[in-house]
Amino acid sequence: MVVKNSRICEAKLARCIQSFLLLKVTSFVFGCVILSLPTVAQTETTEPTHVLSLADGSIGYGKLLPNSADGQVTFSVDGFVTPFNFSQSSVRSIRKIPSESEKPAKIENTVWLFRLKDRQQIVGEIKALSADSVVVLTSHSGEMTIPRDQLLRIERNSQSGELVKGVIRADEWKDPNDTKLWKINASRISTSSSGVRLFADYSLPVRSEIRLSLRWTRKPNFAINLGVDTKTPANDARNQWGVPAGHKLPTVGKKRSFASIETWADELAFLRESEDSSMIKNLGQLTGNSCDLTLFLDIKAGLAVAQTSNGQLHKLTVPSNLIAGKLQALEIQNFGGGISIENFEICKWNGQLPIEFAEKTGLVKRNKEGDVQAVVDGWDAESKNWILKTDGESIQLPENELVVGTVSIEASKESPAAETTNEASSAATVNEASTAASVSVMTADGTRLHGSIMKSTNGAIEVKSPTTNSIVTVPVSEVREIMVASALAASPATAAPASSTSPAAAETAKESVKESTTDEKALVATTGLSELRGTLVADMSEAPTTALVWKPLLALNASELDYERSGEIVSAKFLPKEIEPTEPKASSNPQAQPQAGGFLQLFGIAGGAPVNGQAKPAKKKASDVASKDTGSSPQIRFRSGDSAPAKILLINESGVRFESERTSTTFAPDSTIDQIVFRTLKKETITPEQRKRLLTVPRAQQNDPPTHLLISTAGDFLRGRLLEANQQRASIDVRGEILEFPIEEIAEIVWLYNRDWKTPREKTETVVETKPESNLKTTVYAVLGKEQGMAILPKSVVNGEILGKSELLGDSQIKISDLLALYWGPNTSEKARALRSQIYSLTLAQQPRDTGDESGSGANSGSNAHPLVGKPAPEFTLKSLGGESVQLKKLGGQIIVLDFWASWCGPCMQTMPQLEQLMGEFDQTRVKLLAINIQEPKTKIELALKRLNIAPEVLLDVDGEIATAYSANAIPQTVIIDPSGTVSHVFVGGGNQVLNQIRQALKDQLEATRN
Amino acid sequence: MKRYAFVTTILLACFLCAPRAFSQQANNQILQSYVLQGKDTTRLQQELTNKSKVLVEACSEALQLDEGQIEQLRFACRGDIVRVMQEISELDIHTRHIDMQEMGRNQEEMQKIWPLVMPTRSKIDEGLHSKGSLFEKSLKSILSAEQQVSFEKQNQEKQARLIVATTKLTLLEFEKQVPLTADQRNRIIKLVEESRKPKLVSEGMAYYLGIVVLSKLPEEKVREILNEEQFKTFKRTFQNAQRFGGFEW
Repeated sequence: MVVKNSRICEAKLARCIQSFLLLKVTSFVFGCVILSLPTVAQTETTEPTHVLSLADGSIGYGKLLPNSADGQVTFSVDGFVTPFNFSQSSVRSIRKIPSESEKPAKIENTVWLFRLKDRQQIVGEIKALSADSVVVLTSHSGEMTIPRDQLLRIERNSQSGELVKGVIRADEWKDPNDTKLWKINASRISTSSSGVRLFADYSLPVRSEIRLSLRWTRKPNFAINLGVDTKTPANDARNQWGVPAGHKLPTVGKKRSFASIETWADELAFLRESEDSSMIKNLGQLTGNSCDLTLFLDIKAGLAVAQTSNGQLHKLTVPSNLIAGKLQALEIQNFGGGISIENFEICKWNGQLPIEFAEKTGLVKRNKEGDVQAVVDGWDAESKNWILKTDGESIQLPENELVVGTVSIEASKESPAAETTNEASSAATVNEASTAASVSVMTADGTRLHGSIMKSTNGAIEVKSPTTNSIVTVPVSEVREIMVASALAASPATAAPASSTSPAAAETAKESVKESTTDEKALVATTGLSELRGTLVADMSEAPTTALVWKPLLALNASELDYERSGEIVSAKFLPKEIEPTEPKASSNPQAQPQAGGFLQLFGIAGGAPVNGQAKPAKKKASDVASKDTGSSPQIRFRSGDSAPAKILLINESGVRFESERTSTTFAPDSTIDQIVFRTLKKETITPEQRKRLLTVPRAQQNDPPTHLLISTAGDFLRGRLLEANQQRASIDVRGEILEFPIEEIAEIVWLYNRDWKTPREKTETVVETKPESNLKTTVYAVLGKEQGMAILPKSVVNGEILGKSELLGDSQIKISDLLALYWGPNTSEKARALRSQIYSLTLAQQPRDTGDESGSGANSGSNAHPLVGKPAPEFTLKSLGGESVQLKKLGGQIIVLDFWASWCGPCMQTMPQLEQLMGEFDQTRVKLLAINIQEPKTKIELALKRLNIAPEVLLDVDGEIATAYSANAIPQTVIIDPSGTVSHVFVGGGNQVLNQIRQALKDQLEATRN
Repeated sequence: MKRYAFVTTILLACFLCAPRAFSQQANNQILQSYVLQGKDTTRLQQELTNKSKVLVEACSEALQLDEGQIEQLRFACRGDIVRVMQEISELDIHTRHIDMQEMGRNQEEMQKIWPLVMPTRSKIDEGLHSKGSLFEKSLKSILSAEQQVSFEKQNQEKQARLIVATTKLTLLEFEKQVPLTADQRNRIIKLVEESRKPKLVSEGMAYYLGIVVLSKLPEEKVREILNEEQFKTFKRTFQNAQRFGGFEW
């Protein structure tokens, strides 16, 4: 049936042929209906260019698009068909992902940095400077006119521009102690736990510019080490002193980095340190709860400079050989409080330091002639000279002679500390990004503008700047960063409206953020590295292409899921909370702050690879999973991975009759059933060895293996062929014996389809498969609990329920509130399969090796060389052919001869009569022969003995375990055990020579016993 | 026998008696006994802060430091104090669960705890701003070349005075066994002044400086100063100290 339907799909989805064929093969082993899950091949997609970070902690990788309305941001998240629109107050930041193919334009000397009030800056060529305005030609937005009174100074541009790392990538950071207490996403790195470390080999350029935005809570106590040796051992050196495992040692004062930032009580220290020297700068008091730092490192020259948000530079110059090693890694240590690194941007640095300058002085720095008390008053475009005004006089200065010059003698409003020269009091001030404007847009060349994003009219990002009172157009490709300066974005918990949006809208956004971050019923859609909190809604479009539409809580619109990309929707309660340093809990319990990651890891159900490159998260608490377990409600589970709560009415060879509230279907064919769970066992009751034995089939049964496994409520297992089960009793055929059990004593019935060999019937049987009947692309897999799920073709979302059709169960409905996860896209079937934790696969017992003709000569019999010789004989208890139990240790005092044999083994059949005849030569009270048959049914054994006309005492090694214990890999094998229970001889093979050796060995034993 | 054992008694007293005296009072017995040595963290921090102030003031006076240098030295000292207090705080977390009585019965476990606590203990004992401290390491970058020469010279002079002082103190102790004349005492001191002097690398070993210096004096010259009985006692008392570590020669 699947074959037919798949053909339809082949026709419809020509590009999916390869995947389809692969799944056809898979279906043979695993099941049938699973094929109905999406099988489309992953189409080639373009790389995301930007990362969106929302106020509720959601992350979206994709593309920044020209916005469609004032005060909004339009962003296309990979994995969703329609771009989302967000109120700009809902956005925390948008950052460009560095691309190797994009190189910054070469910086010319004629490009100047125009510093404006409120930390705005514009990079470009000077075109005009009058009493009213300055005209700047920018590379991205053309000419920009800035009111003169907004301009603070003009300085030679030192922005290097080339971005090496703009987005934090979780997979680049390693937690050496595997504490799982860091939360890492594209937007931030945060923790509220003490005694934790994070390490990343970032291949730091020799000359690098690192921009950090730090936030903290409580009493911060952290260290950020820059330029750490990439070979730094994961653990502190003091661990090598033999400290007991589990003891985490103080790591402070063990510097192995080029430079560090440390909190010292309420101060921030910037230092370089080696074994015998150090250099320290005080970056200021830790006032407020955040600071911005820009660090310039020249590892080769031994220069480290920190620039605080007031513009002040703090230089550390120490010989470059201070620390040996490849200093290209970064390390974050948190010793207390909560820390959040909101921005970790690394650029290549051109070696030019920013100019430290205090505007109030009215100073002009000149290249050759030094400083002069003046202001830059004008620009002579003809002569390309600056016009300086000093003491009422005007002097001209060639363009390239200017280093930096004041335009307006007015201190920057946002940097009061710039007036202070005392290093100790020059604070690493609180992040004072202007709140007058709602967003800060930074371009690739270093231009930073504050304003509000307006509706695009020309396919670019348009920023309305209150400073210039004009609209600045920035091509999307030039946007390096958009930061929302509003308090809403800074702290969801204490959100406040952004100035550019209406109070009502901001309040709504604030509520949305709260709802998004606190609502346990919320869902999170994950596609690739993106994680968007939101909910499934009905597709209200006129021509819906898919029933499932995702609406991020902070988005103004919804989008269809892109079924050509893999994705999953997970209940937010199974994802980690956003680590907000405002309310952290110091805890050493790894479960306190689990990492984001794949759903499979959260449950610890399957060994799937970590999703999204995230660190492996802590396992979900058992109680959370148990709440979604089957409990006392019976479950029917299908080979496809589908399952449904059901009342089981009848089980027979044709299939299972049932009733389920989830579907109108009442019958499932036998070939589709995987398991009936009447009640869940709390824990595994057998050891792995016992399980292996349970699932090992004697070779004699390979053509007629057990088909069912019954697991009792007491945890006992019984394999056989289930004949019938109704609501009272179940009957099962166990090796020809019909046994009956009350249904209330059965916990599970397992269908044993999985086996590592094929029966003749299977080789000739046509696999009956269920047909998928409609568009494979839109089939999704809903995870509803441990071992519970359903592949469904969704039709609509109504009243919090997904209505759709299951290939197995027909019309079905799933409550969204019951969803633990929902998978879609090309890898759905793999994910569904990975959820199966208990797969019962039968294995055929190992084939004993026949010694063949060679053994006839006794050439490889080697009685004394066998490893068992001289060792206590492995104990066993076996049933005899007559049904009696024979225990080896109860035969003590006699010489025991064990003959391992099977009726299919020619040499065995030849040797057995001879061996029996040989035994007649000895006193039967002193020498006892036990013929151990390996894995053959009684009927075959009896037939063989009858044919040979012998009657030795035969013991039944049903599963070959005793043969394995005696290393009977080749038969016949004869083992002689002395009266003390020690193996004295082992003979492999038959023939006269071996028989003579056995005779001699027995004589020797009897002699020794007599003595 | 009593005389013979006086050096070892001091050593033992330092490592065993004091910790035991306070072990019953603390919540974290390991930390209290082996690191804080009976003090609470507030008191220790206060002591370390006071010592730092004195140290910076002494440097300032001796080297004519400017305000910027003084502030940088103070900041380095604050760094040393913050770091050691942080270490103590982390040690507290990692040792508070340990039952000292229980551990006392298990020597193997006891041995495991030493590497955990001793580096911090040594840091406190040796003086927070001694070799290897941020203060000491920062001096190179804070002081001018001239100030560094002066600092080194003053350090040497201070060291020499310390050696003489501790030697006199040690001789006083020695004279409890066998009295010396004033002349003998002066001649030994003169001999010490003329001899090669060790560099003290740890403040905690200052007490033993005199013992070590006396043990290293040329035997024939000491024999010339002392009579036979005095010499025998002198040799017996100090000969073991030749092997003492903690000094740079």
